[in-house]
Amino acid sequence: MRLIAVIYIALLAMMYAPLLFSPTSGGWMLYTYWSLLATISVIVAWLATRRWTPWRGS
Amino acid sequence: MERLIAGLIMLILYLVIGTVLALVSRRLLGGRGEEDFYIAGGRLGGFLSAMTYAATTYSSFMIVGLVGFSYFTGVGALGFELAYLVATVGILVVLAPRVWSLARRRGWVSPGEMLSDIYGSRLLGVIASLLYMVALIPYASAQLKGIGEAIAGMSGGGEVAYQAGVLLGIGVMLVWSLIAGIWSVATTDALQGLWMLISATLLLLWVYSSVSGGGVDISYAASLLDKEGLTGLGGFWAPLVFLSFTLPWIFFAVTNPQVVQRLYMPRDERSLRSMVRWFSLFGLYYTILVTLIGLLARAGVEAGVFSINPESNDQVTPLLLSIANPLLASMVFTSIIAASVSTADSILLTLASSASRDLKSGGGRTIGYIAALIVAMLMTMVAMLRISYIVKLSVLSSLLLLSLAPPTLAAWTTGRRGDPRFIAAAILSGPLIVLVETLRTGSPLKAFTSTPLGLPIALLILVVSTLLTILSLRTSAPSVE
Repeated sequence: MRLIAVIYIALLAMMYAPLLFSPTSGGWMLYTYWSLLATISVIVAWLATRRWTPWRGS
Repeated sequence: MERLIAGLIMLILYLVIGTVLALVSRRLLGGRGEEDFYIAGGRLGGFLSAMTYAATTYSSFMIVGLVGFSYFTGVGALGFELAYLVATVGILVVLAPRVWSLARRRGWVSPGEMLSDIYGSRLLGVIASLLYMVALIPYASAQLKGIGEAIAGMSGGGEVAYQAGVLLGIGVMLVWSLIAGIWSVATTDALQGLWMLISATLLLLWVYSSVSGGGVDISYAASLLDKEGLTGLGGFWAPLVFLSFTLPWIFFAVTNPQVVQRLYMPRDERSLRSMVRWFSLFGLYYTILVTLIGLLARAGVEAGVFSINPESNDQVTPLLLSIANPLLASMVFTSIIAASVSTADSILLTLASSASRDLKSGGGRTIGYIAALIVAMLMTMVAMLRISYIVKLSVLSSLLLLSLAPPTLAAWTTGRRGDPRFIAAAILSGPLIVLVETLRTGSPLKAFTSTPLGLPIALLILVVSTLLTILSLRTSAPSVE
């Protein structure tokens, strides 16, 4: 589950990545980029919850 | 007149179906007192768990506010809302099983009880409950105000129609939440969630067919939006603004009691899994729908396909509905009410559970009923003022609750008992910083995007609360495991 946590932190960081470039145009590119990341997060959720091993803490 | 009649018929249909569902759900209500009334005694199935989580999370902000936000500020609105979704799905996948399991073992009913129990201090539950009241009553009142405005807009009426709308809204919320507690809330949430999805889908199809019928295909729409500077992060979505908007929301699943409490409800791990899976799909689909509606509507206006001229975010959807097919308009109009009711009645019930479990324990359901009535009266009084300030205050709710994130996350991941005095300070640091900034800037909205000490206010709250939480955990204390 720690690996899944890392994947989600990476996905969230990638949501913020466009701030580094602050694109001012680009058609549907940014829309597609964010939608794709969110779609991946949903797919990971479906896969990760197939064999759910709860976080045990420290 | 045609629109008014269609709107009234659809509204009556929605109210009748919802009330029948609420009454039927009484059969599900067991005899296990407060646990059953507030958290379904941990017996909620996967479908209801998912739908109540989604319908509670997604308020009328989506179909009204986010459509307008996308229309005026562009693609950044999608990034803002999807950042919330990615964070929430991650939190649920990683931590929901642990919270669900702890809640069952330790008998938590209210979100405040979780903090009291893990940190071993009843005072923390009291502080958290009071903070929920302060932060969420304006937020729930803004939902009531939305219903009042929708009814006034549909009927073309003035103050009387607005007040009738507010009273209708609070009446529905009270009836649907008190008939069978969370059972009636969850079953009506399922209806309302489906209604929201179907009507938003139909609205997008209408906007898309109108725009493409007017000779605007997807690539032409992109070039029109490009020209207006709406496809990038220039203009409104400067990096600091993006951070200010997203930071409080990415912790929504941890800080907002009405969704935290939903983690206690699923019947078994399978139901919990269904909740996380279907909520994530609901959120992705609904967010993409709603932002596309706003962006395509804007392209349609720029191309001269739609002749509407909204002046603020909240006017975009009503103006689109004013030129849409009356049947579609009445469905979407009812979905606005559904989205408001499903969010606010869940908040009402959660605040009632906080009052009866954290502020006055041992009172049973009677205290819950009394608390729900008091909260409902306060919500109605605030909504009746019909001032735009309510909406601004509701924006602050996410900021006011943000300082709960570090202590809650620490409790969920470590289960360690830290020093409750530092945890109390951590929780109170958020409202204090918000208060100081509101006074300094003279407006809650300015405080929302202010940068005290050079940091976005949300980040400052997180840093202060995290430091205090770490200090608390450094004191040796037993784990709750």
